[in-house]
Amino acid sequence: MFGYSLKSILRTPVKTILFIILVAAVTVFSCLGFGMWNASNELLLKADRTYKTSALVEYVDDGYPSSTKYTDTMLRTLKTFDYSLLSDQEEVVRFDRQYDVGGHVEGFNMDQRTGVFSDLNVLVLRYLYTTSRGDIFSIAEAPYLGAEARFWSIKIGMQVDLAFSPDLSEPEEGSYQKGHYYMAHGRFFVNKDNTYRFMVMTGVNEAAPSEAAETLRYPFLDLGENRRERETWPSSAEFLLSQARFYQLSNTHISVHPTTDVSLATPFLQQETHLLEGGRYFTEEEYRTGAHKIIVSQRFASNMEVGIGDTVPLDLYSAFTLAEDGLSGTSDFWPSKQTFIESGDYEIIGLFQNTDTLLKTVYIPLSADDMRLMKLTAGYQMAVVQLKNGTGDSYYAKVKPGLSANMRFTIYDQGYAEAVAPVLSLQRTAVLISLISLASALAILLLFAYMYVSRQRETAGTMTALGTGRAKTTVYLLSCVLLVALTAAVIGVAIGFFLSEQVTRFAYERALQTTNVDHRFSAVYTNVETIALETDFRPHLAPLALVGLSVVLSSLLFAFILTFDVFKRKNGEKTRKAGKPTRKTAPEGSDHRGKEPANKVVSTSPALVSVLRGGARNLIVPLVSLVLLAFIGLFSGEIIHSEDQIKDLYDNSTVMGYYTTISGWRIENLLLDRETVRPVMESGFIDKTYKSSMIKLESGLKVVFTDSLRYSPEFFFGDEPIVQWAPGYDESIFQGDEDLVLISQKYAEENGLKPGDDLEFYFYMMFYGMNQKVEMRAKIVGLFNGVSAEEHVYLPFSKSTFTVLVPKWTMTGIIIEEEEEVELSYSSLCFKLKDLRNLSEFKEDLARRGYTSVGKFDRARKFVVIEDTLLNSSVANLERHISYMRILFTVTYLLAAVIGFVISYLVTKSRRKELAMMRSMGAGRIRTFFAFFSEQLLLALLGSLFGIGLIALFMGGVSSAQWLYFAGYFVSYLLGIALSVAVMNRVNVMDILTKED
Amino acid sequence: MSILELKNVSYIYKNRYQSVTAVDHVSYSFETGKVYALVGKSGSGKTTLLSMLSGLDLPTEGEVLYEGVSTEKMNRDRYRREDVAVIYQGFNLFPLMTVQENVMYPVRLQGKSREEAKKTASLMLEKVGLTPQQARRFPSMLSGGEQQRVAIARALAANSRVILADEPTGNLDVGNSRNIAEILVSLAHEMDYCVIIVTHDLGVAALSDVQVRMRDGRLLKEGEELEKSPEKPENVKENA
Repeated sequence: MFGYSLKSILRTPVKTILFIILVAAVTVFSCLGFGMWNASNELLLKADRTYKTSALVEYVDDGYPSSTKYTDTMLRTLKTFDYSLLSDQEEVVRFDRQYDVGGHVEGFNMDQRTGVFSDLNVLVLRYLYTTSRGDIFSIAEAPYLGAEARFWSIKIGMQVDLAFSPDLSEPEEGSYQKGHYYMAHGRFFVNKDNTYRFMVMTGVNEAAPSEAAETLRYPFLDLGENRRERETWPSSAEFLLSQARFYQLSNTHISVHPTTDVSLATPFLQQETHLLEGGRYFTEEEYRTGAHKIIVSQRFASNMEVGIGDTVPLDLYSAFTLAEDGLSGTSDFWPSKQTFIESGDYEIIGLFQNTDTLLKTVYIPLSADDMRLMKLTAGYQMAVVQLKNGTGDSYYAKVKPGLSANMRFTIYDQGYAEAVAPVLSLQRTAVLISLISLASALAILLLFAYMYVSRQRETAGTMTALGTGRAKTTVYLLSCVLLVALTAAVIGVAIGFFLSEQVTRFAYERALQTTNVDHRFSAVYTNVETIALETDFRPHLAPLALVGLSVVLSSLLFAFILTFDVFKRKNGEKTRKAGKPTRKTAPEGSDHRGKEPANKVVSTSPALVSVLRGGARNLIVPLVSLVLLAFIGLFSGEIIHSEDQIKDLYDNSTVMGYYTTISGWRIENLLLDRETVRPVMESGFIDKTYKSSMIKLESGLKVVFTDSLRYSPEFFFGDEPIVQWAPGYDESIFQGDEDLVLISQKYAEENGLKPGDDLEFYFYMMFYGMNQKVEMRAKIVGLFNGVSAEEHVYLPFSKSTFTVLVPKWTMTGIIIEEEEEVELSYSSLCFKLKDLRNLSEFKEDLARRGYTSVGKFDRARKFVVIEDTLLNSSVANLERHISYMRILFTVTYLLAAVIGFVISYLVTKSRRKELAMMRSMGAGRIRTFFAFFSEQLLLALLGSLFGIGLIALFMGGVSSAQWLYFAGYFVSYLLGIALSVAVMNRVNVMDILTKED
Repeated sequence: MSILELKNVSYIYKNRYQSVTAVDHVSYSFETGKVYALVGKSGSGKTTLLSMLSGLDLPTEGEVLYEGVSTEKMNRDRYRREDVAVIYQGFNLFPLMTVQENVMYPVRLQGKSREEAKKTASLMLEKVGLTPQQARRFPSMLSGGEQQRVAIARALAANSRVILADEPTGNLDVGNSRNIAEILVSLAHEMDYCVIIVTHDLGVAALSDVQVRMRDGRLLKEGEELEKSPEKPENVKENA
C-alpha cells in the first residue's frame, strides 16, 4: 500500500508540489509565530530577572531635602498619611518605609575633602596690636576649626589679621582693646606673605536655634577682658558656640537608614553604588530581629580604620522632638535626651563603593514590629517600594490621587519599561501570527485532506470493489497524506528554524522603532543608570519540531475523518435511502407542471444568472465578505478612535517642565544665567515661561520677582495660595512693571502691615568687587496665605532689573562710574510646552545643547525635568493599540486574498463544466474570466455593502479613512478571486465536456 | 463541397511516463450536405479527432482546414462561435439558464441583440419540436431527449455550417435516439449542414451518408475491420 501511495504522489507532481508548498508554508508561519512567541517569553522572563523597579515617594517643601529643617505641615501630613495606600497595592513586591534617623559614631570625622563647612571656623581671638597689615590677633581658642584650616596647619597661638566681609560693617578704628578676647565666625585666607587673614562672615542659618538666628547677622562678639576661659564667656556667645557645635556635628553626624531591604535603597537600585566583595546584605533573621549589624561605605570604613567584622559604636537619634499632639514639633539636629533612641555596638557586615554623596550614609536592619519605630519619624524620603516590573504606570495611577500636592513620586526601573516595550509588541505579533497560522492551517489542511482523500473516492471505490479491505484502503489514503504532510512539515520546520532568528529580530527592531517611549527628562521615570537587555533570538529546535508534528498529526486526523465519508459512497455515487432513487433528468412523459413555469428571460450572462438563481451557494461569498469587512470596520474604527484620542491628548494636555539641580531636589536658587537659557526658551518649543529671581535679605526675608505666583517654586508642587487682593488688583500685577508687592498674612501681622502700606527694603549687590546698595519700595496690594512661603514677598518680574553704578576705567586711568542695567539671574524657571507632538524633538534639542535630566551630567550643566509621564503613558498605550490593530489589518488583508482565492477556486471548480461549455461555444478566455470574476465580484460587493451598512449602524457612521481601509480589503479579496479564476480558466474543455462527473 | 479537411493530422498525448498517438496521420475531407458517422472502438481516437475538428485542440502534426484556412492560423474562439457547433452526449446545458436562455446564448455570444437572439432561439426551438412552455423551463425539468433537442437548437442558433456531435444519442433510449438522429440527418440534407457524428450506435451510423471508421488512431480503408482479429495462440491447432 505504501508503494502505491508513493507512486500516486509521484505521478501527480503538480498537485503534490502545490500541497507540499501550502502545508510547508503553513508550517513555516506556525514555526515563526511560535518561535517568536517563545523568544519573546524568554526575553520577558530574562528582563524580569535583570531589572528591578522601585518607586520613591518623597515629601517636598521649602526645607527639602535638609535633615535639619521641617515644617509642622510636613510632620502633620506624614504622621497622618496612610502608608497602606503605598504598601497595599497588588503591584507591590516589597515595601520599605523610610525614616529620618540621625546617628553619631565616636571617632568619625569627615576630612578636608569630604567634610561639610570645612572652610568655616569659630574662633576666640585675642587682640594684639595694629600694624600696616591691619589689626593683628592671636588665636586663643578654636571652638570649631574647619578641616581646611587644619589642613593648612593653623593652630592655637598663631597670629592672624582680621577682615570683615563686605556685607558686614567693620568696628570703628581703634575700637579693639588690648587684652580683650573676641569671638568670630569666618574663614581663613592666605596673604601674599603667607600669613593668614581671618575674614569675619555670617554663618549658616540652620545652625543656630531659631531664636538666635537674628544675631547671626553680626558674627563678631567682644567677650571682654581676660575672657579666655569658656566659663567666663557671656551668654551672648552662645549663638556662635552653637554654630561651632553645628559644624562639629555636621562633620560627625551620620545619616542612618533603618531598612527592611537594603537592596531597595535607591543608590543600590540605581547602581550608583554596589556591595563590595567580601561583604553581604542583611539576612531575613537580622531584619526580623533588628540585629546590630551595619553596612557602611568604604570611605567611612577607612576613615574609621575599620573593616568587615569590626564593630563601631553607634548612637541613634530621631530627627524631631515631637509635641504632645504628635503632629508638630521641632527639628532637632542636636542629639538630646529627648531625641535619643539607643546606643549599641554594630558589626560591619558589608562595605559599599564610595560615592561622594553616600560617605556618611549607613544602613541598619529593621523590621515592621521593631519597637524603635515608635521613636522614628519620616523624613523627606517617605518610602521606597519595589514594584513588579512593568507596573509603574498602574501603581502611579492608583496612588497619585492619594498623595498630597507636596509628595513627589519617582519611578526607577533601570530601563525596564523601555526594554520590554518592543518585546511585548513582539509577543502580541507572535500571538497574532500564531492565531492566523492556526486558522489558515485548519483551512489548508482540511483542503489538503479533502484533495487527497475525498477526491480519491473513485480510486478507493475501485480498490474496495476489487476486494481490498477497508483497512488497507484507509492505509493507502492516509499514507498519501502522511508522505506529503511529512515532507512538507520537515521542509517547513527547517525553513522556520532557519528564518526564525532573522524574522524575530526584524520584528523586534521594527517594534523598537515604534514602541519606544521617550523617557528622557521625564519627571516620574528617571534612571541614573539603565541596563541594556541582551537579546537572544536563537530558536530552539524542539518546540518547532513539535509544531511540525502537530501539522502532520492534524493532516492525518482530518484525512482519517474524511475516510468515513469516502466509504459511505459507492462507486462514486452517494448511496441514498431506499425509495429515493437518483435522478438526473425527468422521466420521459413526466409532467412537472402543477402550473405553467413563469421563468421569463432574465439574462444570458452566466454571471448574473448564477447570482440570481444560484441558491444557497451564493450566500457563502457575501457572508465571508460581510464577516471580513466587519472585522476591517472594527479594526479601522479602533484605529481611528485611538488616533482621535491621541490627537485629543496632544491638543488638550498641558505639559510643564522646569529647571532643577542635578539631584532634582530643588527648583529654586538655581542661579540660571538669562542669556544661557534664552536659546532654549526661544527654540520654538516653548509656549510660555514662568520665571522668578530671588534675593534673600539680611533680615531673612526673601524677595521674589516673578511673573506668575502660581508657578513660583514655593507653590509649584503644592496648592495655589489663597490671595486677598486689594480692590483693583489681581495676579496681572506680576506681568506689569509697577512697584507693587504681595506679602504673606503672617508677615503682615508680624510687622503691622496692611494693603496700601509701602514695603521698603534694601540689599547689596556685588559688582566688580564693589558692594552696591539697592533700595526698593513697593506698595502692598495683597495678602496671601501660604504656609511654605511666609517669609516671601512677591514683586513683578520686571523689577528684577536694576540700574547700578559700575566703575569703569577710562583712557586716562581715572575710574568713573557709569549706570548699567543689571538683571538678576533666574532663581527658578519653568515652562509650558507648545505642541506636545514635538516633545521628542524638544528633548532632542535639549540633549544637543548638553542638557541632561536628573542624575546625569553634560557640558551645559543644566538639568531639566519634564512632567510628561502621564501623557507618555497614555499616548504609548494608544500607539501600541494602533500598531496592534495595524498588524491585524495587514493580516486580514492577506486573509481576504487567500479566502478570496480558496472560495472562488472551489466555486469555480464546481462549475468548470459551465466554463468548458462557454469555451466550447467560442467564448474567449477573457470573456469566461470576466463572467466568473464578475459573478464573484457581485457577490463580494453585496456582502461588503451589508458589512459596511452594519458597521455604519453600530458605529454611527463610516469615516472617509475607513472607506480607504474597506477599499484595500476589497482589492485584496478581488486579487484572490482573479487569481483563482485565472487558474481555473485553463481547463481542458473536451475532457470536461465528454466525461461524466 | 469540402468544408472541413484533415491533412495528415496526428495527435500525440504525452506525459512524463508515456506518449500515446491518439490520431495517426489522418487525412480526410468533409463536405456540406452530408452526414458522416465516425465509428470506432473506445480509444480509437474519435473524440480526439472531434476535438481538433472543433478547434479546441491543435494537431501535433498536420493541419485542420476550414474552408481552406488552417485552424492554427485562425481565431479559434471565433471559429467555435460562428463556424462550428458541438453537441455532446451529456447535453451540457447551463443548469441555471432556461431552455430559451440556453439557446440564446451562442447568438448573444456573436454580438447580436437580445431581441434577435430571442427570436432566433424561438425559431430553433420550434424547429426541433419544443413548445414555448418548454422553452421557459430549466433543463433539469426536461427529459433526456428534450434536452438533447435543446442542445441541437442551440447548435442551430449559432448558424454554424458544421455540426459536430459526440455520441449525441449515448444517454437516450432507442426512440429518442432515432428522433435525434433524424433531426441531424435532416439538418444536413435539408439545410446543407456538414454533420459529423461520433457514435457507437449502429442505428445512427446506418442513417449516415458516410461511415468513417477508425481504429488505433487511423482511418480504416475499405475492407479493414474495426476490430483486429485476435492472434492464434501457438498451441492451438487449427481444425482440419
